[in-house]
Amino acid sequence: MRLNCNINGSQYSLVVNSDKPLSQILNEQIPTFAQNSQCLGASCGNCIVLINGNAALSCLVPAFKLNGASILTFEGFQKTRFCHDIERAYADVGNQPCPQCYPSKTVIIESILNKMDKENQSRISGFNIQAQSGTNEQAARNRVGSGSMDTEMIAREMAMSSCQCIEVSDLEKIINLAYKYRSRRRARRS
Amino acid sequence: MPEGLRSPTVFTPKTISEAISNKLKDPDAHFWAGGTYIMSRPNFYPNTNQRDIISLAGIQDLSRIYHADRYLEAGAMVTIQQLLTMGSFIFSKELYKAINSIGSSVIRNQATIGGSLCTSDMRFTLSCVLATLNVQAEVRMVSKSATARWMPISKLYDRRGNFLFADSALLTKIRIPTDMTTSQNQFVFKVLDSPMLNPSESVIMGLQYSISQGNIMTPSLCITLPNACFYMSQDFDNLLSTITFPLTSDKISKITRRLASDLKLSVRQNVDQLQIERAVRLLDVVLNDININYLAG
Repeated sequence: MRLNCNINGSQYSLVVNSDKPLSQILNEQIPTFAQNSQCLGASCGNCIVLINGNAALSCLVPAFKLNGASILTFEGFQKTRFCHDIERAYADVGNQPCPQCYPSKTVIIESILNKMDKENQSRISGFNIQAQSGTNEQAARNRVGSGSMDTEMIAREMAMSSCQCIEVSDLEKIINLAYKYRSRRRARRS
Repeated sequence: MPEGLRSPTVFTPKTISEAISNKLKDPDAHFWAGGTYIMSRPNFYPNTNQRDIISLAGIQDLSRIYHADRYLEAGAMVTIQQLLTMGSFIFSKELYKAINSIGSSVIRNQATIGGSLCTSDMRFTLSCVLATLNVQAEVRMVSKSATARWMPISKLYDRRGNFLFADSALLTKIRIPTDMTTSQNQFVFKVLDSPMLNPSESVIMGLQYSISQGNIMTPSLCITLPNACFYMSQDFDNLLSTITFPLTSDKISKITRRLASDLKLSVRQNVDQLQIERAVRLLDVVLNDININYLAG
């Protein structure tokens, strides 16, 4: 089949088997990706990518589902400003994942931040509907908190990457810090 | 494209009847929901024996969620994350936690209800949870008449956990009774180890019950050993319903011994004895917890 998709901002038109996993397509198209993804479907978590903004294990996505999709690997994500929030949080906490799982853990953290953002937005909008008058959005934001995630949830999300190079408590700090930086930037922009 | 490897044909039906007619035309083709299980099998790709694919992603009817007063109806292509999002307003806290424990959100975004229930030889968390709650599933037979049947989830599998309708039917939707999950019925759910990553050691247990005048009423127990057994027995549920609180340790050990002997008869031959022992101990812990809660009032 012919597959037309966008990988890290570049348009690709490839002839591939319809059931070929995305991880193998990326292995062939992006040389650095091959260093991370070796499991071929055993869910090691190292091949995680963003497909249309949502995190997905590329070894579990077949080619026939990708026509017209926009795929962002860690190499592409690294060039965005969102990655800088996470890198800054790594530096502030003084700990970061090992080189082997650095790309996958960073993309998982990005997907957690997106999830926290969505949950917080929906909670704020829900709160605004409930409290029709007398409460501005800032007050609602204060009441729903900074959108922090509990340790159990973070551990479950990070279990996607089987490498145990970093403590969950440190990851929790990194995620909360990165979320704080992102919220601040958004507040400055708005 | 590697030499000698055929690219499977992908059918993209827009309706359920179109999907069934595709299956009738090409009996070797298989239905494809989320694909998380199929693609995680060893040697999935490259493989010279690839079957054609009937992708169910384009069928709108299978992606609908409908909430009535007494039940929630979800199509087979609804993802587990969508079910969870919808269920957060409807399900009890325990049921929400049970569904939330299925993998991480990355997997839940991709895995669908139909795909999780219809894996051919492995049983995962969702089938155990839904079977415990006596959820009904609509199954459309692959035949020219395409007749539909509603049946409990537990009837979809044999005792060894094999899916009974692998190539002969299409699961189209499930119906979760919401009044049962929110009333005085208690729901306990436990899972040991990851069913996906470590199926030969994992144990999943779901128990629904209510307590009235010191007796367990209408118990429904499901124990799943992902690669070996799907245990749901009316006889054992009847035994549980004879329980009178407070429980003694003798009574608990009598029940767990019975479970151990039942499981030994039900499991596949290659099962590890440790896995059975874990299931038995899990029931022991759950019964003790219920006993403590009863005594604490």
